[in-house]
Amino acid sequence: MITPPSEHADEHLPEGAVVDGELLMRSIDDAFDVVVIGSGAAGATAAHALTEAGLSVAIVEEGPWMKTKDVASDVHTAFGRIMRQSGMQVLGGRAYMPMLQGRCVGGSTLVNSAIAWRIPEDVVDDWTARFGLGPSVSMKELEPHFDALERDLSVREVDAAVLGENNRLFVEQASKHGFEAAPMRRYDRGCKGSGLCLTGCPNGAKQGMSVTYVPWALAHGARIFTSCTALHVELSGSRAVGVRARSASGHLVTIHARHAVVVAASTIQSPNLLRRSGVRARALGRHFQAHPGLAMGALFPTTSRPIEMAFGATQGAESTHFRRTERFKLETISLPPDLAGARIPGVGRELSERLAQLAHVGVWAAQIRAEAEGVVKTGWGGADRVDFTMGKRDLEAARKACALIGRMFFEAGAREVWPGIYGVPSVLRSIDEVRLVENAPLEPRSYNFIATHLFGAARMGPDPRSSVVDLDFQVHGVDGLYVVDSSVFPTNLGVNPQHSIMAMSRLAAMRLARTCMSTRAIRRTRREAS
Amino acid sequence: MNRPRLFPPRLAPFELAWTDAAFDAIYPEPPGSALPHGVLSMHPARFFDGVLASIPFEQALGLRVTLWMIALAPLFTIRRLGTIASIGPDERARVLERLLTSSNYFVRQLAMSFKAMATLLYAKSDAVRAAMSKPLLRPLVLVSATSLAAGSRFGAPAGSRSPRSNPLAGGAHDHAAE
Repeated sequence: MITPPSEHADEHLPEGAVVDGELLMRSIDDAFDVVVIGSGAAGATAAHALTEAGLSVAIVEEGPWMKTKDVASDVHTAFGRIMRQSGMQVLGGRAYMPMLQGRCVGGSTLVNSAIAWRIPEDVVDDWTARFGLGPSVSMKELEPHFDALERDLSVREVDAAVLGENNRLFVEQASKHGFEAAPMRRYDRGCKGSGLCLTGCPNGAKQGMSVTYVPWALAHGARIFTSCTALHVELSGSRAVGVRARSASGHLVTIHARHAVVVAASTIQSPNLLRRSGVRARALGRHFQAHPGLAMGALFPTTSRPIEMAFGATQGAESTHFRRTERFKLETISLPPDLAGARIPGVGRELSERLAQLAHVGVWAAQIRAEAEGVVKTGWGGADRVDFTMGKRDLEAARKACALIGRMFFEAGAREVWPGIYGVPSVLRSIDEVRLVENAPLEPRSYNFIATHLFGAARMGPDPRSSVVDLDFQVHGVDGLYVVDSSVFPTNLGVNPQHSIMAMSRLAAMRLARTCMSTRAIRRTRREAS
Repeated sequence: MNRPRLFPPRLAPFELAWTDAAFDAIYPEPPGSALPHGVLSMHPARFFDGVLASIPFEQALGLRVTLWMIALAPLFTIRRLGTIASIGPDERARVLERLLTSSNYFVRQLAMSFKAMATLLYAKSDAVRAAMSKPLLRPLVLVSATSLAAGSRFGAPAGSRSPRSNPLAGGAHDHAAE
């Protein structure tokens, strides 16, 4: 096991590097080489790469900076401070689907499980074949970036000492079922198995952006404007020249960009920010995709070895065995009591008796590589809206995954399985009852999906009629305006996307840095000549 | 930062009473609970009022509507004239059960969001968290709620087997999606 650092990287930041929009008492007008909007996986990675290349960078972040020492372990407090809409954001469509997005320094990397998956080769091949991305975006181009990220962020398999019973049991059952499952690879520098990834790591062991690339970029001279909402990108003719933002205290923040504006505000926010900035592309907001996830709980006998979700990696084991054939990925997830309680059947005494046995509850989940596409649009009062309805094939995949999980639970010795599907009893008591799940309704409203991985809506491609950004991540027809988050992905991946988002962002930033440096050199030569 | 809003207005005294009653139905005091205490001692009405004041308008409105739905549900679920605050603890639990298993998607989703709110507050208690995290050394027999007998008008959706005709259907929460 690696020993976590005794002092967290978010504690000692360079003087003046953080401008807190909650405390700002006046308007600001400043200039940098590049302005990056968003400090999540994409924005922080881009900012770090750009500062390393010698450019001056400003980061505009809508949310606050939740320092490691201030992390709250109760969901209500944590979500209220660091999640968009206090964690109550939903996708619309035939059924509502909660959508969790971090709105803080580090974005969702503060509240996710830090799972590192390189983009699957078949996805890159598909992007080349159907969307014309190769050779600009190819495994050969991306691999050096994956290597660098894995070195920087200490990607490693979950240590056996902190695997925990929920994860161990999953691997064991998968093996009995004859398919491959393994401990996850995560951004981890000394995980203590506190099971609190979803509310922020209290030990600073999870290598999210708020303890890595953001402070490292600040150490290289970047400045971050926290709690400042980007209103729009300022365009001069067909060129991006800056960003206009408003601080939480109500003051205007104007940041001029000498070379470029990099948008990394997430799949939902980036398209709407481009719209507000005057970008008019036919594909903008379209082709939104997701990995809707479903979690199932099971109660094990109190006489058997306890599961104790409170200890172990929050998400520590997974299987991609069915990713290509059935379009789902299986994984574990340890839910804190605050979230588990709402999903456990019953009220009153019945609920309390199940909760009293929470140490004997396991939760396993499936994320579906949905084929459905949605639309990101601007709703009433300028709010972000997403319409997304899963199709029949997606629901069939979900149902199959649930049935498989149900079987695995019973074979592992569960007394009760809680499928959480309307049309199926909420408590199954024997493996025979799993066939009710196999025949569950193919109706989106019957399932309790949650959307965590979001893609598309500002697709990359060579043709401006069917895409928003070109093969260098630059918005078609707008010089100096780049989008580097997962909104440029032409499709979803079938695996957790943070690693791929960061690699794509790093690739984009390195290319942009080269362009900026050569432009800077040309300007310098011209100045000297004149 | 989520700032307190002026509209919609804070909960009225009768809404506060409804909130206490509805939260109590989900997490009652012992002996109606296997956990150390109920949620009432944690001032749920004050908590819920604070949540409504700090979350975005649309969500606050949704939760407020949910409160009214639960408050007036006894009339539609168990045919009792009165609000959630004016009926007994057992009946409250039955009302909540029926809402959570309603065939109407919006009703059960709203009821589920209310249960989630109650859980967020309840899990803040150190005593409750400790009780939940501690492994049990002996089996605890689960109580099967009998309130959802077959024939409930909030039963199975069209096309699915009725609880009676389905030999595999469990006792409580038939066709629920909690």
